[in-house]
Amino acid sequence: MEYAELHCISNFTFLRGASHPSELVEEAQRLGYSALALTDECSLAGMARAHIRARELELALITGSEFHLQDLPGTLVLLAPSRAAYAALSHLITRGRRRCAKGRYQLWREDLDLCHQHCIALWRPGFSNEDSLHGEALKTGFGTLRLMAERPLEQADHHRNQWLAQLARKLECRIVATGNVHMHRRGRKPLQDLVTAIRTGTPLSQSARGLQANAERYLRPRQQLERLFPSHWLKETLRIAQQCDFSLGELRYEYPDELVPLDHTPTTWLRKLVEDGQVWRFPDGTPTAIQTQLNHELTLIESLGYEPFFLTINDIVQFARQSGILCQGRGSAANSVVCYCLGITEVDPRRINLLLERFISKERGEPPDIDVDFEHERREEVIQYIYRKYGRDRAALAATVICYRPRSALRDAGKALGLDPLHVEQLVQGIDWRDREDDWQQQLERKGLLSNQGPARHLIPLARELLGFPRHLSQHVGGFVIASRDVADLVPVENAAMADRTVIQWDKDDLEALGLLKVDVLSLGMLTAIRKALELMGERHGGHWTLADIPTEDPSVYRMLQQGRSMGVFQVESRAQMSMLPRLKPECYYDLVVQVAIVRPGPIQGNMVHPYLQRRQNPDAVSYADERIEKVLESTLGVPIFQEQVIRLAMVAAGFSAGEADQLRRAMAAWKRHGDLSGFREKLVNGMNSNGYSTEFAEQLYRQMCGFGGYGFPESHAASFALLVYVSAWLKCHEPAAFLCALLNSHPMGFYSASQLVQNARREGVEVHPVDVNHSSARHKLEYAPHNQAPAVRLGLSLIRTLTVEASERVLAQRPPAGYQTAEELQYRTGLNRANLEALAGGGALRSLTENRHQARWDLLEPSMELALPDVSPSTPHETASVMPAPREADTVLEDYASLRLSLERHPLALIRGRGQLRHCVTADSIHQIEPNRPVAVAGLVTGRQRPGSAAGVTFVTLEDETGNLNVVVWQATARRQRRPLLNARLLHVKGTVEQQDGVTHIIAGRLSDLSHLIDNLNVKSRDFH
Amino acid sequence: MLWLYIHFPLMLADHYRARAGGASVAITRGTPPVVIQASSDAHHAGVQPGQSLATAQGLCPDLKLFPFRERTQSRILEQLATAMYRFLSPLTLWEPDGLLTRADQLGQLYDSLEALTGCITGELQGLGFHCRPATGTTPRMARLLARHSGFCSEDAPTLLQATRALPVTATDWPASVKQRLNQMGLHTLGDLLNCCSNELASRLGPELQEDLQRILGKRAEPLAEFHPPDRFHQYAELPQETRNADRLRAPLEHLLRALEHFLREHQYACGRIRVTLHHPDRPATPLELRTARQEYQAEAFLELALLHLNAMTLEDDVQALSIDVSHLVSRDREATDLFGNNETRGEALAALLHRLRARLGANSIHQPGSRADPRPEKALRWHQSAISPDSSGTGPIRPVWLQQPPIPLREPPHRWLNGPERIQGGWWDGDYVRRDYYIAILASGRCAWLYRNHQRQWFIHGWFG
Repeated sequence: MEYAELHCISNFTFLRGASHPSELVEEAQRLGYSALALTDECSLAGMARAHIRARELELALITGSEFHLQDLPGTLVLLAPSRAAYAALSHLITRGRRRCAKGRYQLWREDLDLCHQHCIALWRPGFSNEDSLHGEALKTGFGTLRLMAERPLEQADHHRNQWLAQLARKLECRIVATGNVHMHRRGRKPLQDLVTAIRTGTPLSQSARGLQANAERYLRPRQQLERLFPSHWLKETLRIAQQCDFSLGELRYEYPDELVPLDHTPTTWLRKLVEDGQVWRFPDGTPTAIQTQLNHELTLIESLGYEPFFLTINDIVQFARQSGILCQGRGSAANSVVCYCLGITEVDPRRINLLLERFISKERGEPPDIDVDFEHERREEVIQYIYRKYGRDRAALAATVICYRPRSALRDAGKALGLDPLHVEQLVQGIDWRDREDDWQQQLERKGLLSNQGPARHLIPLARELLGFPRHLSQHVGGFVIASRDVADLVPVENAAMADRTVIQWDKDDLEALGLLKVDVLSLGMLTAIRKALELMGERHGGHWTLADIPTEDPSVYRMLQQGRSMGVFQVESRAQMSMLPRLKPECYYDLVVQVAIVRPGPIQGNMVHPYLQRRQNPDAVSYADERIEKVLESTLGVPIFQEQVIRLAMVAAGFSAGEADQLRRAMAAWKRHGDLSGFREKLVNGMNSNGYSTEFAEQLYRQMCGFGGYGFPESHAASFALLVYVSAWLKCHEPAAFLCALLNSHPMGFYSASQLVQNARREGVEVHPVDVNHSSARHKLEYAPHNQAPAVRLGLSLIRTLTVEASERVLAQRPPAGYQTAEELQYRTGLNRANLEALAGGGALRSLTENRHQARWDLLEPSMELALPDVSPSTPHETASVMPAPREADTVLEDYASLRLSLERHPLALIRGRGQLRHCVTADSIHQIEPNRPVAVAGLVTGRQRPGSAAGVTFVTLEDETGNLNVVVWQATARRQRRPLLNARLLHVKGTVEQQDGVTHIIAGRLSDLSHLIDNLNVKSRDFH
Repeated sequence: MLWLYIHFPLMLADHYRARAGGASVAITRGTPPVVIQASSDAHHAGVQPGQSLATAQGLCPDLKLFPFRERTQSRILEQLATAMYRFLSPLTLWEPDGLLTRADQLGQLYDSLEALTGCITGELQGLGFHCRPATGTTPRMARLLARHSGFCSEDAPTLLQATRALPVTATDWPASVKQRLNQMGLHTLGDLLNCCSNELASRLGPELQEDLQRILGKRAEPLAEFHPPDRFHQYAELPQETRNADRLRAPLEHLLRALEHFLREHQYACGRIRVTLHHPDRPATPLELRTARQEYQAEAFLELALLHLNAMTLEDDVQALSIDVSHLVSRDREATDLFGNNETRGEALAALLHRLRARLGANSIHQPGSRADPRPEKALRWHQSAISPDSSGTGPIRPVWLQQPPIPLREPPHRWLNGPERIQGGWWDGDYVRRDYYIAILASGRCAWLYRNHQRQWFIHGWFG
């Protein structure tokens, strides 16, 4: 007997369904079902995944959804037989979801009007006397109605089915057999019980409410169904399934067409815009090769009908340009000359090798991916523009499906099993998560923290099964879906947690798989900083500065980078990058592209870094096996650095076909999720062997592929980023004050704290002036020396942690031209409350008004100050009997750190050294003078502890003293023996040996001691293990 | 006047350490939990307050963790006070972790202050607790010194000097006040005392000034004296050894009258008394009597005690009787009506219950209830005491008489009424079941609840009326 399951929920009905959509599809296919309807509760979120798997397995998949209405007892399932019904269903879901907070829905019977003419309605009544009344109403609305019979093997089965038969006679409608499926196999029952316990918040050990009494809600074999249901009820499932011939594959996405003037078609308009762009981009005429590619690209775009997509992005970028918001495309779009001509990307195609297939390809059938970065502080303006221009109906953010990760799975499973929360927390925290993720189970077992008795023994297997289960929908960082009509025609829209934000029910992978386009509106802090620095340059030199005004290929910029002086510079400021700079010694733009890409897991795990550095020193020794390889690897001296090169090598050297290479690319991108590249390994090694390459080289390449997984850094992406590396380095080199000021005003961003940036800039000669109510603005600004107009940074009032924005505005608004003369005048004019006055005193902002901070505070706390009447003359000083002791230098430093998180006074280490407490310690600025392998002692504030995944067991500690930063390497054995100072110390003393390589100095730690008691109360935070 | 304050710096950690058999322990609090106290050995390994569990366990892999509970903390302090009561009197509890006493009164009993503190420290060490004593001319001074680092002296000027040297961070003042003082350069109590007290009060609030006055003894410190909880104990030898329960009645009544007298006098009531029968050669036989509600009249206890005595057989001669009551409650809530009667229907039921309990034993009285477990044998829950209506919803039909354990079906069913109803669950506690249930009339005419297990064996699991 044939059968089609028409009522089935997946784990996208969060914490009810216990199987992935793909598992349900696979099982239905295995059992030989004629069709499967996925009917998640008021959701189509799992539909795309089910569709992809069903397409592969050629199973008929029916789109539907289950509802529990406010004024209708029982369960209603609506199926979409047609595109119009699909749109109606999507609108109904949207309506129910948009009414409620994230994750909920509310619908009434009258809302069903939306679906009446389109959807097939299946109803399981509430088994009460009102059933016939409700049934009549549904039948009138939908035209026909089916009653859902179930056989969950409960006591009431027969009674209920008799009731249904009676009701069917009364309503003159048919009965259809359904499974109300919650899991693909019986074996999922424990997990189903677990998610039920999580949902209801009662542990299983205390008899969770709502548990299903048996495991019958699964996809049953057909023979069993034959025994359970009368044959005409089963036949009815097929009749319904045959009516449903809608597939998600039919969805077509239409981009807005209003961007095209009336006398143009999208094609001609895009061509016109590109031609205009060519004039701007290539003033001396477009080179022939590039013109050829451009034509090819335009033809390709036309044949795929993507013009409106490019025009939409062009429109958004134009808006940003006009509003003075810096933006730049990243990722594979940099391979497109069209994007370059439209101003979406900035990488000059004359400067790198373009790989158009990476961006857009007819064979792949996937939409191109265009990601654009905007200034992080102003991205919201862009988002609001999109909403304004297209309306909330037509623009929505893509979702991110938040899934169970090992920690959350362990926590929730532990709670549901009734384990002691503290014990579970102990387990979770006891695991070293920096080890590869799939290792946590072994760790738990090895440490023997988990008992084999009682509910605890179920924890690991269940948590493992729960892993990857979707938990809720969150908003994607910036992926917008913009449609020509209502987005809800395409996919349901629901509320996000953030007010006024809506997300669609699909994530970016779903969209990609269905061939739907999205625009990524991303944010980048460095763009904000660069824009602010350019504005400051305009203020100083006059004129309007843009990125194009920055001179290219300035040797002094590269000299600075070669010395590793890159703090604050985009992408190359991390410790690993900083120590690579003097070794790689970038000399031109392309070196920066390599520099950005080389300090990445891919090249590091593939052991490509050293060969590349060696070949840079001796370029003549570079040789290639043959010409084709030379073509692929020429730009990087025969060493594969970029993802594209690895793929090309697979084609050229291992004989991968274009299709196989594309599969490889996808597998690499998905590697972090699925972790399986092993299928390609054999083919790669064999292919390369047969083409005369060593197994060793092939294995290296394979390791590199694994390293690229999840962290793919294609050349085009590195090329876009390298542009910003150069610009920010140029600013640091030539306009250091403006650059520092812009960075501080864009904080938090980047790798370093404000304190570290200020110290570094001061060491490099930038003058920094303290916060002062009479000189500071709200933000940091530049001041110019009267005699030579040299710029200096004046710290702003916003730096004071506890000062409110409103208070700082008042201080500035009320400030007399000659400045405040006394604290009383300040108080009188601004009327600030005590907390704000104290904040000002604490930040040292009253330095020009009072003797010292102690006295300032004492004076400010005088009660009469707060009650000061307007007619009290501001000039009469208050008499106080008590004189506060002047602060010691250490007090000032401490208070600076407490209030501003930085200090312009002497560094705490200088104070301690001054007291003679750090004898024999070498400072950061003189460490390079010590001969390698010599014993040395250093001390500094711990500003970072890192244990990168690519360096097994090594902890990198960054120490800061008054002259700079020290890089300490702690080997695993040392770390184990001296955990206490390593983990606890804020001020660390290290005895060790010096190691030098290519101008980079490390201290290999031997003995560690904790000197934190010397800096008690100093508010310095370490960035630990990021 | 000289005060002695004993501070327990690791009170909770010491307590749990003893419970955990001497392992390293830490007390945690908050979400995510952080360490707030660590035992001395854990501290030695680097575990410190404020650390995350991951760091703490990184430093001390065998660390045992216990969550902070305020009630436990109070209870430990009370236990410590009770234990020290025989040395130290008058005694005051100072939450959360200190005891205060008068050193000058105690000093007379000891040669010196060192001898006194040595004796206290030794005693507490024996109990497994670290302590830090300090003296002061006022309670608050002693407390400050003890909490900071401990300082003992009998000399008032020396004590004052030590107090003045204390950092403001050693006080209990709010963190904001302490921070503010530090930010004005006022780092020690001495700095503060140098300031004009009115100016100080006007800037930092009167509470600070009052606290300073208490430290210096310029303002009285209200103290509540600690008394260990009352107990009742009385022992009476019988005129003649006996095995006859009837002969125990008179001496028992005598003892219970004494108890009633004690309870009346102190306005106490109790619900639990222990009667001990002492034998000449064998260990004593204890009898726990529990009344359904708090009682104070001898009759109530006597009736209960006799019920108990009659229910047991005395195997040995009884030489003496004693009564102990350790849990006393105040009786002020009890009230009587105009006729001196305070029994309501509920109380009559309670009285019936406690007589039943006496007759059958406290563990024999149960009340049925249900819970949401699919397995029939686990769906029934017996409550021990509560008298509240059963709140069962409308579920499937279940027999009132559950056949537990189920018995194999031996006669063929005559007529099937319902089924199958499949029940499958219980994997989480190891009692996994998978059964198909049926309701059927057996050949004998009885209506039974049957099931077939996974091995296709048939059982009767209940009977319908």
